[in-house]
Amino acid sequence: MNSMKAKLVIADDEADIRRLIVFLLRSYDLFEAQNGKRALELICEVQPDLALLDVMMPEMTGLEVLTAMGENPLIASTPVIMLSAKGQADEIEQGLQSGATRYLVKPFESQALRTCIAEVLRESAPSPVKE
Amino acid sequence: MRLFVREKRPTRVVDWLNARLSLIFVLILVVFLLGIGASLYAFNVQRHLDDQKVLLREDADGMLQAMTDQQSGLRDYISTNKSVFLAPFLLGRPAYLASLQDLTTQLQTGPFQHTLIGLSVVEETADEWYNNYAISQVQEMQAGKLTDARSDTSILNGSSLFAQFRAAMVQLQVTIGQDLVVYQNQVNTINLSLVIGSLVLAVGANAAFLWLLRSFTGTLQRQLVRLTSTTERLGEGEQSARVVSLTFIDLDQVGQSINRMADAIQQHLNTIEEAMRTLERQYALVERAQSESRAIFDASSEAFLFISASGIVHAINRPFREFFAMSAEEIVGMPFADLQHLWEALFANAASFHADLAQDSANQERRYTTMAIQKEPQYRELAVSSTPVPGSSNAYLGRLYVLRDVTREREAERLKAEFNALVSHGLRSPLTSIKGYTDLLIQQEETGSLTELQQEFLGIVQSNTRRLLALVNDLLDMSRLEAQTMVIHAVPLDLHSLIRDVTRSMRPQIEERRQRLSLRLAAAPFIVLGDENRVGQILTNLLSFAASHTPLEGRIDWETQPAGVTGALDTMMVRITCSSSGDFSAGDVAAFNQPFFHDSAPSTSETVGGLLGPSITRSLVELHGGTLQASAEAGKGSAFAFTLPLAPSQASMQEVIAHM
Repeated sequence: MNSMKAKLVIADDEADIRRLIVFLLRSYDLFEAQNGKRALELICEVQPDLALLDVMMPEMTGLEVLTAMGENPLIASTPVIMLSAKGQADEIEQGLQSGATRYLVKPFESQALRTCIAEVLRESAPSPVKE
Repeated sequence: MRLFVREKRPTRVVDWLNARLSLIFVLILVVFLLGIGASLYAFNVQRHLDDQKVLLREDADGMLQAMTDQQSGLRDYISTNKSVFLAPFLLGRPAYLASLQDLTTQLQTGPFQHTLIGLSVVEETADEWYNNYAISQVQEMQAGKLTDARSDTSILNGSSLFAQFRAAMVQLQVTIGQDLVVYQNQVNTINLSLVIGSLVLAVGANAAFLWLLRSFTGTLQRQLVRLTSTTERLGEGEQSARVVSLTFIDLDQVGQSINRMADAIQQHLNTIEEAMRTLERQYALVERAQSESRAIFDASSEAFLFISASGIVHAINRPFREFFAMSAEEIVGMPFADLQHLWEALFANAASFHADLAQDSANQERRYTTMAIQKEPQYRELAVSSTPVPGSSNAYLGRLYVLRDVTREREAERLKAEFNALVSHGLRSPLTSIKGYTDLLIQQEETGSLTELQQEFLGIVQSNTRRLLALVNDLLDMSRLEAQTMVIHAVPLDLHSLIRDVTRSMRPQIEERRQRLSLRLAAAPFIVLGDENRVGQILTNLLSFAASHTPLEGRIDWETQPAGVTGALDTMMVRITCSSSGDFSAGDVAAFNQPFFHDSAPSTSETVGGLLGPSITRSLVELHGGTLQASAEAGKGSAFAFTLPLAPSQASMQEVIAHM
């Protein structure tokens, strides 16, 4: 089952950005959400290998999704990469303290995003092989 | 009498009294002695008189007896012719003369003129009998003429003469009695005079004593009245009243003391009056200053509330009255505890506001700013700053609360925050799409090949996207700097390493302009205390600015050197200089040297991306505790020099080197 593609939940309210990310990460098994609430539902449903969350989203912000994930043992250990237009030092600090594995600031370099996702997946890989 | 009325010569009360009492004592003593002398004199006179009485009688009786003895002896001799009877006759004559002599002597010691006359009569009759009768009879007898002697004629003659003598003697006795009565009367008169004189003297002495006492008490009273009347006049406020010179030294001394006291009081009163006048002048000045202060107090656009050290509302100003539509009478004088009810009627956050204020009494030094949301009579957001007010001697006078209406400022801040959110999210999101898709297209790897023209145009899009992104970042930095919410995470950094990194990242731009960049860094590394991203941003901004303002093929130098202890921080600093062979314009230099960038027009269109750069760079340097100075001299190039604090361990090392 090693050849199975990693599952990623991508949440961003901007369709254009979602489309860009989907294009860049098309090699993964992707699940898209246009708001925070939907993202949390998808994460619970799919239990992805990684979640890529925007911060400023309707319904639930990315930080609220992170907090909710922390309260659910099934998905609490899912690695999360925050991808936000809010790039000040304290905002990054806040995201990491809320439980994010990485924090990327928009606009991002395509290659930097791909590298970051690959690294996070590799770091979480030692987990048992999925059935 | 002058002795008692003369008061001019000063004397002590006791001396004065002693002198006069001694005089009276002597006077009484003299009177007493005179009385005794008079009594003794009277006694002696009386005794002498009594002796005279006895002696006169005895002498008179002795004369009579001696004459009788002569007469009887002569008679017996004549009748008997016996010589034996001549003896009484012969002895009687000396006895008579002796008694006569005694009587005469006695009579000369007193007023006995009448008796002396009587005695001379007696003496004549006795001598008549003796000389004319007795002697002749004895001679006749002795001659033997007995008959003649014994004749009746002779005998009759003899008896007649002796009868005359006896009659004279009787008369003498009577006269003696009369003279003694006169003499006794004289003595009685003298005694009576003496008694009367003594009484008069005694009464006189007592009168003098009484007069003296009255004189003394009168004088004393007059002088005491002068003293008391003067003190009373002084007490009634007659400041010119003084005690005149007094006879008695001790009272005069009291009077002079009162005068000195009055002088001193007068002097003090003068001083007090002068002080009062000065105070009045100062009070007028203070009142004027106070009314001016009040006018200034009222002219402020901020509301003032002053609570005294004892926790009583002491003063408010006009804006305070207008903010809360209340008069000074409604709140001035109110104790602090009662203000809570007032706040509850006025403020939405009354409880927390009052709790903030309540801590002030516990900590007089406390300074802080808090917010109050006013709900009545009008909605206002008030920034309340609380400051202790020290007096001239640094004593705590109370606390001043300054309430500033920040409703509009806060609204503006909210708008600004919303704008910042719009910028950060609203601009960055589209920029993310533009940049992402442009990058994909230009890379051509995943989207297919492009014509050269397409590549060129997309390159322009990419470049402008970068500039737009830089501007967005600067706007965000600027708003954070203005809001003072920029946070610096200072850690020890290797300065030279950072300079090399920045230089490396800027190298393509510099090489493109064929500029020469050289690093003249100190041999030893400098470990500075700074935020890595922000120090990188400073270095990037400066190098970017220098590169874009240095002509083609120009020269750019980095230099680092110790700067000693400079700036606001009490620590060793390092100076980083970025010099350029180009001439920066005066506007560019000013842009770096001013706290904020006021010139809204960028010097060239190329610097749009760095519109806010100078101000941000300068603010970032200052946030690190350093200073930034830009300079330019026509024809000699330009330079930026800024300082950063050395990390403590290296600062101490540099200090050692500096002292070597």
